[in-house]
Amino acid sequence: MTKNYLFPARFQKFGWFLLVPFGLMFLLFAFGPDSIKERWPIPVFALVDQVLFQKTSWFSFTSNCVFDEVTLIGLIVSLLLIAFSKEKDEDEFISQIRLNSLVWALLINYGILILAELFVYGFPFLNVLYFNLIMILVLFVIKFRIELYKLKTNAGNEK
Amino acid sequence: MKNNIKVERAIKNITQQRLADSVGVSRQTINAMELGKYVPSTLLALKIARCFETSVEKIFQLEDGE
Repeated sequence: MTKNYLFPARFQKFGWFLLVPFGLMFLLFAFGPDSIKERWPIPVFALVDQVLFQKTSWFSFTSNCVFDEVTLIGLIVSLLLIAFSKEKDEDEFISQIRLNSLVWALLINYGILILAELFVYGFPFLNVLYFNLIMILVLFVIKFRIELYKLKTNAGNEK
Repeated sequence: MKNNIKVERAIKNITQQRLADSVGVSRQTINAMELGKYVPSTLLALKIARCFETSVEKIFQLEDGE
């Protein structure tokens, strides 16, 4: 009650605003042609780098298209802002709903991951991992929004 | 745990919204408490009792088996 790690409420709108471009770019990288991942490479610093079947190099410079990195970071930041900004009327009941939604999202996320582990083999599993990067946050945001919507409609209008 | 927030509100003739504002929560939270869907923290229970100028036990009571 006395301390939480939530962002101020105004950040949430900013998060939704960022979600649109970064979400679209994320889907483009997931389903688009592979060639877009190789456009306009620039030199970047690599803490660790390894080309397939070659020696691992530490603290080197490599050449890379940074669009996918920018997209993933942007998407994670926007989802974090949406998920963990305070509601305008954040109180202890909403905090409890938040916690329950987060537990639900974690359980469903790892349930999906276990099923994928059992039934998806080979290359498509990389896609599972790719979506798994943001799955917890997406599931949490959806669940939390639904619960808040139910809360607001159930409370109805006061007599 | 049961409570008689609704009764106390009727006696004082205040709306859920006004009670919510005076104890610093959303109206949905007051509604959920009245419906028994949410058990408030000690802090909130004390604030509600203060708002009704009575003691916590007058508003919140344990049910059988609790």
